[in-house]
Amino acid sequence: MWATFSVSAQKQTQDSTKVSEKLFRNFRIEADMVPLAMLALGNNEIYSFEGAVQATFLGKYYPVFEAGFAGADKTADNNIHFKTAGPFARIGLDFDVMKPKPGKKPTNNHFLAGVRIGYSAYSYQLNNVNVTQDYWNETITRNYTNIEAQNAWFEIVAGIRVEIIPKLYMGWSVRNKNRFGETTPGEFHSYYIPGFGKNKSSNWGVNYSIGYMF
Amino acid sequence: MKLNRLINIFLLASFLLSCNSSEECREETDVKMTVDFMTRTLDTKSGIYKNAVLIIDSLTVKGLDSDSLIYNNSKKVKSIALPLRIGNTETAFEFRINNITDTLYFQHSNNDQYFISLECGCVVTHEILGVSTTAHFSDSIIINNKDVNNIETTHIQIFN
Repeated sequence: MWATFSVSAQKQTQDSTKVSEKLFRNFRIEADMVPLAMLALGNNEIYSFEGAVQATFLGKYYPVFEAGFAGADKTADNNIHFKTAGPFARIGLDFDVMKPKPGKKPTNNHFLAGVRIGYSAYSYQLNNVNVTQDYWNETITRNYTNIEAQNAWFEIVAGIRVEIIPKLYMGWSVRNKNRFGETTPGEFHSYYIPGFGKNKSSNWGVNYSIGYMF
Repeated sequence: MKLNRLINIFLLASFLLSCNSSEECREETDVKMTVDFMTRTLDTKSGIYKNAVLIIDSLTVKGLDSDSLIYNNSKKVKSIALPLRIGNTETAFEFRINNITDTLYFQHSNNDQYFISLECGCVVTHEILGVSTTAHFSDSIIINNKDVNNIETTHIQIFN
């Protein structure tokens, strides 16, 4: 693996007249600003905080690790109260799809596209679950606390990063998230999955990141 | 300026993503036991009895010990849907079929952990364990499908 990397690195050094690419060049630490905007907009049903570390390998591979903590607290119209909170993590790889224009100085701005695998292990509760049988005039109420759950999903991500002042980056990402597995009819499942969003087969997500390059 | 454009695209994207669908229950939450009326007819050619749908001219159904009618003198009935109790494992109904009265007793288990969704909550599903009848009209009863949940199917066949 490492041998292949170094061979391609050498090739690039020979081909490229501009910069010689180091195996590991630098890394950027980012924080997602969207949850702050959501809080400012008064959305307190759902919160999701996340950050990322993205490294540059060989000048064109951008492996990334994202981690965060998310939760939801919602009372539905039928008075069922749902609450969850848990950590999540994603690992993936981006590529810079923006080719440097010939004759121009290469910039530190990137148009990144890539994939992620996400995972979250969390617990949730469903309280005040009412079932009414109108004809027989019977009602049962149940509380389900501490239901353990885990989910995995994959994402297709695209975004841009712009160096606004040296070392300081800003940018956004849009991601399409697709949950692995299906919910079995009748089985309990969480309304919200940390890091994934509402429990549907597919979700969209957006991040607005501020980052610092080391 | 580049940063401005960046923010504009971001605002547009967030606007498009913020369009939430409404959150009312859209799934089937009706859990009822479906009862079909059947009869056996002799096929004269082969000499074999075959099952056929029976259409009841007049039908009244109510829960035993209940005053409210589920079906009130309904005409031309071949299939009915009945609610099972969720706080008791036996449900009894009084049938009046063309002026003949029968009482049917259903023994069943109740599962109160059949989850649909946050918007729809849970439903109580049943497993039919046994049936008995006073046998004035109905001479045999078949459990066609013992699982009563939110999926529509024929659970019971009453033969005359």
